[in-house]
Amino acid sequence: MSGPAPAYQVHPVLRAEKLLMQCLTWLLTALFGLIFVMVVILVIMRYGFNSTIVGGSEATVMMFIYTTALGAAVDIARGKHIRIDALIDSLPPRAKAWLEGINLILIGILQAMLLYYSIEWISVVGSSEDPVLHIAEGLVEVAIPIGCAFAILFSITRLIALIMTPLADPSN
Amino acid sequence: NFKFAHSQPDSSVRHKSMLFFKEALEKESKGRISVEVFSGSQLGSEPEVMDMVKMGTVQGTRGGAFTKANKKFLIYTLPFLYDSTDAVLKAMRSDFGTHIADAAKDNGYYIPATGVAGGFRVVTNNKHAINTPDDVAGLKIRTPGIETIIKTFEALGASPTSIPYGEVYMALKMGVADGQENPPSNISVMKFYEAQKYLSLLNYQIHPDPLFVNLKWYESLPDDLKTVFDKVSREAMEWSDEHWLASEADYLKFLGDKLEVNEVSADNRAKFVEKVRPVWDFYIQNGTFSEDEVKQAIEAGK
Amino acid sequence: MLLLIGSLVLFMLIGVPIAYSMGLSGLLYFLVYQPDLIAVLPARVYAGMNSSVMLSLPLFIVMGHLMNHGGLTGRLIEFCMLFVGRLRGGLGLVSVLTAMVFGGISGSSVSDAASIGQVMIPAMKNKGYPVRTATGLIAASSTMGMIIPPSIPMVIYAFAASESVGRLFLGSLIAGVMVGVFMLGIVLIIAHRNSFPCEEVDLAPARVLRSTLEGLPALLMPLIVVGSVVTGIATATESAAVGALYALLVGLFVYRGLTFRDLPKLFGEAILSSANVMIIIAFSGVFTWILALEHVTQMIGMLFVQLQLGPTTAMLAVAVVILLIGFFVDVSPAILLLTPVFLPALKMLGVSPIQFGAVLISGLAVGLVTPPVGMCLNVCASVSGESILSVFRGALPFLLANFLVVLLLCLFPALSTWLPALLMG
Ligand code: NA
Ligand code: NA
Repeated sequence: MSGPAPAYQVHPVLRAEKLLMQCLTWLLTALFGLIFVMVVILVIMRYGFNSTIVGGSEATVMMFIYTTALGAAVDIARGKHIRIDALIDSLPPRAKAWLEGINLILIGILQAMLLYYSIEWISVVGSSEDPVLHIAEGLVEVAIPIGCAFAILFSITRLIALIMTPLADPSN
Repeated sequence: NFKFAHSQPDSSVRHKSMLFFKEALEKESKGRISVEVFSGSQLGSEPEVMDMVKMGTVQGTRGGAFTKANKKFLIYTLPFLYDSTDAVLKAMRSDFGTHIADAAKDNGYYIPATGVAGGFRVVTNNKHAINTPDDVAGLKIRTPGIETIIKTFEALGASPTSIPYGEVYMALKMGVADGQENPPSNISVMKFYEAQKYLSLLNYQIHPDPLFVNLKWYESLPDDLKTVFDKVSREAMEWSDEHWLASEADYLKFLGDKLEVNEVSADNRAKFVEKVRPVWDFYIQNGTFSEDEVKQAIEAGK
Repeated sequence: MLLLIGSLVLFMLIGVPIAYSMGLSGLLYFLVYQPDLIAVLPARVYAGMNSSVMLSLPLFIVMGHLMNHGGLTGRLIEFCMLFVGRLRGGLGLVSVLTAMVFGGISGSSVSDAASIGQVMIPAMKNKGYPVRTATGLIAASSTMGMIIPPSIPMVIYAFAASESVGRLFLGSLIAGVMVGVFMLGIVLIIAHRNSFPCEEVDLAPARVLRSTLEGLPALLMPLIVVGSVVTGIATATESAAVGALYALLVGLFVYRGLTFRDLPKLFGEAILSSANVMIIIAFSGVFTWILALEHVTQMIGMLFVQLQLGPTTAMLAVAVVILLIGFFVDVSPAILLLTPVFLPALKMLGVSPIQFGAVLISGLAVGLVTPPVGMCLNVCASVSGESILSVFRGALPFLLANFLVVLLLCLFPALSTWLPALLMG
C-alpha cells in the first residue's frame, strides 16, 4: 500500500481510534513488563533471600486482569479475535459487509449489557476486602466495565469504518 | 428453592452433610423448600460463590472465604487458642458463637449454624519431632496463602514457603520444603507421608465452617419455615462436625503406621501460646476483633 | 439448553468471535429462562480473568517469542543434524527431531511450525523433496510443540480442570515423545521408498563440540521450565517467567539475535495474544456456569451409563468427538468447551483427569493440521506457497503417528498416568 491513503482511512474518527489503540497497546506493554519484572523479583527473593513481598503475586494477577479487559477491547479494533471465518469469508462482499456489521452490533449489545450489570455487581460486592492486599476488590473488578466501555467505543469506530469502506475494496 | 454450592468433591463430609440437609429440609418443610446442591466448584470458587450468595443468585454456601462475610470469624483461627475440638465446638455453639455469626448480617449473610472445617492442623517434617517452639525455628514449612498460618510460622521462627497444593508432594521429596502443615485427612489423601518422617500434633489451628445463607432469602420465609430451616441447619452442621472429626481420627490412626507421631505436652503448649501471642495482638491492634472478644472466645470454650 | 447450544453454533458460524459467541448465547439463555440470574454475568467473566495459573500464558508466549527471535532455530537444526542427518531422508528426520526438541522449549505448535518451516521447507525443496511432503511434514511434526511440555494448551486445560500443571505436563510427555518416534519411523519408510537423499555431516570432533555447545543453552531450557514446575520449586507462572528471563539473556548475550529495541514489540504482541485467549476463558465461564446449573454433565454421565460404556470405550468415543471438534474449532476454545462437558462424566467412570488431558491435548493437536480451521496448516501453507488442502494431504501420512498415539492413550491409561504418579505421588 503506497501513495496517499483514501479519504475514508484518514477520517478523524479513525485517526482517533488508531491513536487510542496505540496508547492502550503501550499501556498494556508497560503493565506486562511490570508483571514480568515482579514475578522474576518474587522468585529471586524467595530463593536468593528467603523472603517475599506480601501480596506481590496477588498484585500481578490484578494487573493481569486489566491487561485482559483492555487487550480484548484493543483486539476488537485490530479485528484479531479468534473466530470461525470459513463461512463469512466465502460470502460475496456485500453479504459479508452486512454480516460484519451485524456482528459488531451484537458485540456492542453484549458489552453494553455487561457494562450495566457489572456496575450493579460492583456496587454490591465491590467493597469486599482482598484478604491479602487489604484493598477493596472493586478496584480490580472495575476493570470489567472499563474494558466494556472501550470495547463499545471500538465496536462503534469499526462500524463507522465498515460503513465508509467502499464495497469494491476487498481489503477492508 | 434453595440453591447451595460448595467446592468439595461428592465424597467429602461437607457434601454428604448437605445431602442430609437437603433430605431433612425437604421433608420437614413438606416440600415447600426444595434444595439443589452443587459440588466441586461447579458454580465457582469459594470466594466467587460467597459473592453470589450476597447477590442472591445462589442462596447458600460453605467454605473458607469466611472473611468476606465478616472478619471476626478469624478469631476461631487464632493459633493455639483452643486445646481440644470439644472446646472449639462449644464456643461456636454458644452465645458467643451467635454473636460472631450475627455480625455477618451487615454484609447480607445469615448464618444459622457454624461448625468446623475438618480437624486440627498438624505439622509434618523430615528433620525432627517438634515438641517446643525452638524445634520449629529454622524449618522451611510449606503453607497455604492464609495470613494467620503464615504469621504463625513466622512468629515461631520458621520460614514459610508458598507452594501450590498439587506440587507439595514433589517439593517435600526434593527437599524444597522441610515440612508442611495440614489436617490429617489432607496429609493422607495427598500421600505427603511418603515424603515425611515426623508428625507432630501441634493442633494449633482449626477452621470455622459457617453455613452462609442469603439474608433476604431467609427473611422472606414465613416464620414456621424459618424455625424449620434453623433446626435443620443446626442438625446438618452437627452431623457434619461429628463425621468430619471422626474421619480425621481415622486418618490420624492410618498415619500412625507411616510416621513417627508425637504429642505436645501441656507445658510445652504454653510455650507455643506465648510465642504466637504477637499474632493474636496483630489482629487485635488492626481492629479485626477486640481483646475482650478474644477473652470471651476462650471463656466460651470452657 | 437447545437455545444455548443452537445460538452458540449460529453466532460462531456467522463469524462472531468465539468469546462473544459464548457470551451472547449465555445472555440469551438468561433473558429467556432465568432473568433473575443475569446478575451473575459479570462475576463469571471476572472469575475467568482472575487466575494466577493463567498468568503463565503471556509469559510462556513471550518466552517463545524471545527464543525464536534470539537465533535458536538454526543452532538446534545444526545440533539435530549430528544425530540423524546422515540417514536416508536426513533433512526430514532432522525436521522431526528439531520439532521434538523445540517442543520441549516452546509452549505452542504454531510458533514451532513458523520458525522450523521457514528454514527446513526451502532446504528440503532444494534437496528434491516434493514440496507437498516437505510442508506436510513440518505441519504434522509441529503438533509436538503443544503435546511435549511445556504446553500453553495444557495450562489452559489445567485451569479448566483445576488440576496440577506439573502433573499434566508429565502426563503428556510420553505421548509427545511417542509421536516423535513414530513420525521418525514414518519418515524413514517414506524416504526409503522415494530414495530421499542423505546429508553430508561433518563429524569432526571440533565441529561436533561446537554444534553441541551452541545447542546447549537451548537444550537446558526444558530442564529449567518443566523441571521447576514438576519439582514444586516454582509455580507454572514463575517458571514461565524464569524461562522468559533465560530466553531473554540467551537471546541478548549468547545467541545475540535479540536487541533491547525488539523488546517492547515482543512484549506488546505477547500480551495482546494473551488477552485474545483470556477473553475466551472469561466468557466460557458464563457458558460453563449454565452447563452446571442445568446439570448437563450429569446428563452426559447418565448417557454413558445408559449406553453401557466402560471407561475405555467412553474415552474412545470422546476422543472421536475431540478429533471432530478439532476440524472446526481452534485449540483454546475447544479445550474450554469440551472440558466442562466431558471431564466430570468421565471422572464418574473412573477416567483420570490426567489421561483425559493427554488425550484432549494430543487430539486437538491434530486439529492444527486439519482444514478448515488449522493454524499450523495456515502457517506452513504461507511459508511454502502450497494450498491448505495440498499441505493437509502431504501431512496425512505423518498424522498417522498422532492418530496412533491418541488411540494408545485411550487404550492404556498408564501411558499418561504412570509418570506423574511415579514422580509426584
Ligand atoms: Na511444548
Ligand atoms: Na482443524
